[in-house]
Amino acid sequence: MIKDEYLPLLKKVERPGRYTGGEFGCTYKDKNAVDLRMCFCFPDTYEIGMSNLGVKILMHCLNKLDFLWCERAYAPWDDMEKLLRENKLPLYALESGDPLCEFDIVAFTLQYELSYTNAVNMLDLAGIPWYSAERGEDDPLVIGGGPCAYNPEPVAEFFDLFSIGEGEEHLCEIASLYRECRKKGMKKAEFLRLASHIKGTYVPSLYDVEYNEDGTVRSIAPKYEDVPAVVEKRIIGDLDKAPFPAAFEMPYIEAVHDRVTLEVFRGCIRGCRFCQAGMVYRPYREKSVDVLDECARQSIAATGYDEMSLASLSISDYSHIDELVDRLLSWTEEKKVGLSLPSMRIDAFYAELMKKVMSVRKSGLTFAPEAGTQRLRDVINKNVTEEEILRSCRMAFENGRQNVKLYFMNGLPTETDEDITGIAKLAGSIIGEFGGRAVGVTVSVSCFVPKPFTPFQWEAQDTVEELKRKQQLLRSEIRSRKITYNYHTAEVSHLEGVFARGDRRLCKAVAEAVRRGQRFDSWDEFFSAENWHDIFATVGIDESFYANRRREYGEILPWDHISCGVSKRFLINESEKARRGETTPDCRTKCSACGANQLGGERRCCR
Amino acid sequence: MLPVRVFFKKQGVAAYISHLDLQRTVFRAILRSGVRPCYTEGFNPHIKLAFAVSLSVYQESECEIFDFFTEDDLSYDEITARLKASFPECLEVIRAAAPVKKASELALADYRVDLYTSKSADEIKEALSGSINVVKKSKKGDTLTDISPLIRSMRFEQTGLGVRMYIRCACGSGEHLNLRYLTDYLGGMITDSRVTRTALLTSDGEALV
Repeated sequence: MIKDEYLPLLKKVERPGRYTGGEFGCTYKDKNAVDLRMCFCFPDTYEIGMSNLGVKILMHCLNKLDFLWCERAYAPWDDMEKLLRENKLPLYALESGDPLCEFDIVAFTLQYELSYTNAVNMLDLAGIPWYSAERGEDDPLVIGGGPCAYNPEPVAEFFDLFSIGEGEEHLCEIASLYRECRKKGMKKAEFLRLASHIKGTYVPSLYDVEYNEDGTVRSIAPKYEDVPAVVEKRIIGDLDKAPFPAAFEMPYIEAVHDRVTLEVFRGCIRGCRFCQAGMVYRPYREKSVDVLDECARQSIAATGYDEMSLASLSISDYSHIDELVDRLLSWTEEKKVGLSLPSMRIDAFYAELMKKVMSVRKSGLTFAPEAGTQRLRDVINKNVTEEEILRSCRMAFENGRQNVKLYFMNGLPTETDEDITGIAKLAGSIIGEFGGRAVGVTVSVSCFVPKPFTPFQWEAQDTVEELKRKQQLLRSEIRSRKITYNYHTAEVSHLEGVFARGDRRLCKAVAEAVRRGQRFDSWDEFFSAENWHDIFATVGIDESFYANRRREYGEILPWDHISCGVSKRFLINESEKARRGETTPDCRTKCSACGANQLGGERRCCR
Repeated sequence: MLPVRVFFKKQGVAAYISHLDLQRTVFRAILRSGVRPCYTEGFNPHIKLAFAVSLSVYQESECEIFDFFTEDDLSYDEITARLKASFPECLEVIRAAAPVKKASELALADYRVDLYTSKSADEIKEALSGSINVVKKSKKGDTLTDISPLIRSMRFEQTGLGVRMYIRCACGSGEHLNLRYLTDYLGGMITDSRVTRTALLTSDGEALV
């Protein structure tokens, strides 16, 4: 819980409940009775961090170790940051109230590129040296993980090691090794060398990166023979046996996702070519209905939540979705627990399932056609037809919905103006189908950011000017007042694009940004395109080199020494098929030999 | 349908959560306890539950009350034990019991107010004698109101950190004084304050039970 000396600050900040700790369900241990103290940091606000299921799962696994106590910290909002600095009070962990610098391990989950500045700023607020090379034997070990760890290079110099892939087992192994090494009085460097032998560990300081004259990577090579040349990600083989946190910290203030999240499966059978999650979480693995039902019952009882959402990448692809929903509804209705199924695919969105879910609570309906024409939907392998989109919307409206939300992307590879105007046409035909009725369509358009480990990792991102032109083109094409049009800030997507495929040289841009006070870059309140241009110019980084440049297949990519199980050969093949407008069937219909099957896994659909 | 009155404290970090957050927290704590609450009828059922009175953020209390109904046939001791286990530490359940008086009989409350100040008890007392005109904000605009008629009694004590006041004042759905008006009124004379509600009372000064 927050310590007394911090209390006077709380009357001066927005939402003081972010900083108190003391939530129901916190894990407390005797700090003198454990060998290792760890703080799990989420580099964004408390409300966002408390919504993250991954953090809950990993905290649960770590706190099961009796020699370790794992606590939490979140990025303070700028009002609190200012007060902490003015009063010379360090950033603290919410359970013990102790400053982060007193911990043995400080872990960050890197969920999105625009939280990098927050992560480094949190180190600064805790009085921990930013760079791995600057930290001494008494400073905490700083580790990172999460989806951005698949290309950790833009923040590589700040971290001692990265956990690649699913961390349930890996983090426990790392913690055990660290404890052992410290008992033996070994130095950090010795520990890191040994840690690199544990599968899924990437220690940036153990690799040399060389560049060509044109700025591309010439080589990434381990400094020693015993350090793996390629770090392969970890997965949990049998999700039914994976530790599941039924109880966890219950926020006093409302979290963004304030409900029980039931993870039904990992991976995705679809293979949309823009989607990083769909590639890096392969192979597709399911939990069984019995286990899910039991987890759900325990979690509802232990938390007191009256809402539960089934979370996975494309929930209706679960092989027993009907059985699962029926099982859950058999007791959730009586307990007045609302069930929501986000991320439904349009094609699978059939009437029965929809009626079932709607009987519980009328939540918003969102579909993601992603592109405005069939041609472009084939290019990105979003195997959804216009007919299916219209049918789903018809069902929604006939069942009493008055609004559907459609997600699209601008700037996809091969996109033409016809694809942009196609978005307006599609939205228009939905409205047209229900001409007489008071129905509305919300069109939400984001900007495509090419991501590592996708078939589009070699593509040039559209420039900010081109994205803005497309946004305006679409605006001029939307004529019905029944259509609401939202779009993302192009400059933000550009920054994300620079970091997504960045290399180690971007570390100095992150550091410069933190020095200049850039924080919360994913928040409109704080994002500044001008500041970032200036930062990149100051440190000599050419943004377009990272964002807007088309790479050759033969180029060594900054993340080539990391493996998510999907082969480069498969990605190239998919990239070529995209060029030709050919689709690839989902993993259940036909295995496309992406390579992820070699990682193992129970209840999967690959060969 | 068994009516249950729950007496609980709101202390420590709970002082920093709003009434809305408190409601949500209490709903979940009841659902965790396994004591099945009764719901309202209708399209969107919710737990039938009412707080005797709200407490402003930054204030603490030793004597909060909410009423709900359970459909379970349980003794109040059993309900007390279950709720004690399911509430967070800073929202300590004192006891659950059958309501004796109507919640609407609430008319007065006692407070202990610690003022962090270099002023003496006499100086504070002097500042609060006579009318106490504060600006009340409402939708219709700001109005200057004398809150002294809402105060029934005041007592002052010198402490190591400043001055401790004991106040009895109007509380409830009729006349009501939020102690924040008083601490704001003292503004420049104090550096900080800590307000703790110590009793909820009926108009004749008896505890609301």
